[in-house]
Amino acid sequence: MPYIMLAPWIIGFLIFKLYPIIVSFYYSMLEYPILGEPEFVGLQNYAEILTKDQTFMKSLVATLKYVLIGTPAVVIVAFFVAFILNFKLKGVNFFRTAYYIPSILGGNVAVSILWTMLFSVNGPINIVLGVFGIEPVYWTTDPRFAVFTLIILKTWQFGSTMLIFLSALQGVSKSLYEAASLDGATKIRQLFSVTLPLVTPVVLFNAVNVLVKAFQEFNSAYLITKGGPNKTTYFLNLYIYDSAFKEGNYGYASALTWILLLIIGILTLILFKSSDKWVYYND
Amino acid sequence: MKKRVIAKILACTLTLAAVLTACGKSDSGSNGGSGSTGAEPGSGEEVTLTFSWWGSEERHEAMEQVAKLYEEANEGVTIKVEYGAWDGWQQKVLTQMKGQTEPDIMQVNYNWVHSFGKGSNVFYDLNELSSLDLSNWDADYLKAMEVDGQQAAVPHGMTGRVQAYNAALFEEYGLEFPTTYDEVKAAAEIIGADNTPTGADNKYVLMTIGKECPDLYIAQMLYNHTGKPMQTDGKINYTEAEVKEVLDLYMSLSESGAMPTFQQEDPIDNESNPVWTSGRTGAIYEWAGTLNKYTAAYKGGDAVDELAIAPYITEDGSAPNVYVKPNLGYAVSKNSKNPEVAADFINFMFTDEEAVKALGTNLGISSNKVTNEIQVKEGMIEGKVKEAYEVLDSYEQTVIDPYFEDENVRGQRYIVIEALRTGSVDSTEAAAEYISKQQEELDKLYD
Repeated sequence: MPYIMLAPWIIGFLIFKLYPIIVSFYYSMLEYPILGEPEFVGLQNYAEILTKDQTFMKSLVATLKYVLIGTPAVVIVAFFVAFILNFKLKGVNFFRTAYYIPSILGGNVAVSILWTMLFSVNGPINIVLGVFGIEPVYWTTDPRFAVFTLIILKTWQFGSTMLIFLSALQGVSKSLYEAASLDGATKIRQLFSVTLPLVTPVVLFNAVNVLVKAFQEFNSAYLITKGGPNKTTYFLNLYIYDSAFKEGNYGYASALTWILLLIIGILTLILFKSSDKWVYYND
Repeated sequence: MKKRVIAKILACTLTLAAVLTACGKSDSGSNGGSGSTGAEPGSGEEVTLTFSWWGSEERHEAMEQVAKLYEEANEGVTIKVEYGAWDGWQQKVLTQMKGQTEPDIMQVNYNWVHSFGKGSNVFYDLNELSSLDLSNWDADYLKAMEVDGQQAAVPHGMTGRVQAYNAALFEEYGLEFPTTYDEVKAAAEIIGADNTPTGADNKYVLMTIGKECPDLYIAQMLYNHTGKPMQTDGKINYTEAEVKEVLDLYMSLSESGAMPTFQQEDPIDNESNPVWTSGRTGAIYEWAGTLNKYTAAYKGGDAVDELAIAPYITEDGSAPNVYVKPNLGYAVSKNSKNPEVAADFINFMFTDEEAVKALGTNLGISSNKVTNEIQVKEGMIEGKVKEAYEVLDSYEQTVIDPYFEDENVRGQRYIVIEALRTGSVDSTEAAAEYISKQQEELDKLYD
């Protein structure tokens, strides 16, 4: 009986998750033009990607830059906002909602238009910078800055991560703060010696979550910078999409997907391994 | 016991998935069809066809009107429509074709016909369908959409890029339209005199909007400069020195302030670009066939009289040999159950007076003789589109190579041009890559 009850999920998982995963691995070993006949080429796609494909290298650099800067940025900002919103402030519920809203909006078209306008060369951001005597920045068209514009967008959408931190912070026992206070610990000291160690499991959880999502980023680069300028925001997911649906090469796109999976796997593993040294489990 | 149940579910599911995959891969015959051409036009049989296109709002209204006219004229036939903007449309159609769920009748781009099957026809061979009168096209026009000896699609018309001018801006400064690049740069000193590196109100002599436009502009400059088209039989015809000279010339236009630099360009890369719509550029470079969308967007469509189509700008003011191509075409799916009715619908679009009137010159001037006659008789060929075609027709024309617009081939040109414009490479490196990268992609196609 339990298996019959579970069957809808199991069947869905097998058809829509496991089967595509297996098939995509098989596809990655094919020369597979989208409207042509597939031909088995073994590991040729992988060899070409890793040894000859300059676009892949550019795409990888762009993705790693986005992930390795964006992930800590989101986690740090989300933690500190959650920390502040954990105090009993007047109107705190309003602020909690307000900060959560951007993450509901996600990477949709309206947000991309908003971002394009905000960060245009004559947009409000540059006007504000101008007040402080800072020269206008070509946020989306200068290869040096474009990826940071998208990182800022990602960081702005810290709401979900913040909410998880908030619930973790509320789980920290008040008695610990009272004890620390009696021992003469300042608020800052309490933050780093009590709060932070106790929420490190949640930091790890959020870091992994944000990292994996950052590797899968597509919308912002597709809508705001179109992968440019000069491929500096051409994230791997964009390259996979173009390879499959624009250039019509399923095999190559599948191989790219598996390489992306491998990279995500390795970085996640590193995070988990390193957690022995910095995550405190209260058990 | 538990393991056995899980194993059974697993086995059933994977079998089902494998069956689904096998179904999706079924081949549908050499010309596409199953051999049968389905219902005959006018038979009164219940037939439902799907028809897809991309385009602007104006085109959507016109095409829907044509579909309704056909339904009224053909009892039993229902035309379901699918349409949208160009962005992502090619990917959508490719995916549909992969899943064999594409519409019966498709508006297709010139490069799709050749690139989708990489030299093999992936659409129904229209030679096999008697309901479409192919004699209404000149053989040369049909040839452009012929693949591997099969008629993959029929062209609506031919088009080429033209220079559309904002005459009001030139009048304001008392300037004539430039005919050489030196005159363009001289005009920039006057029109762009108050420009600043980031000025929101900057004015320019001309603009190449988006990625496609600079690419086509440079390609035409190369043709003018060398007298040779981009490629012949899969080989790039230029030397690095020739390409470098043209890239330097192109870059000198933005360096002189005649065109915006890469950084100065507005992110809106279509007819809604505010520099164009507010009248702050002297000219744009757009397809003659779809010029209407730019004229409609200019100052809200209320100042079309301020616009003019003038001769091409060249290095010495001489008449160029211009690139042209079929603006778009219509193809029938290989998987259509009723290809004869689908062909009849295409024929209707081109030969029914009301249908032609409904379409107007939304798709440009048609190369189909019947459509063209109706367009002329009804006085539909007018305004800026007419002027644009007159300018095009005043030049020698070259149909662009089928693989000129292949996504991989032109994608390489886009990369090089953007790298040059953002300052990531100099013109020497860009010229070398412009040739070598394109050649690599062409070699794959001609392999």
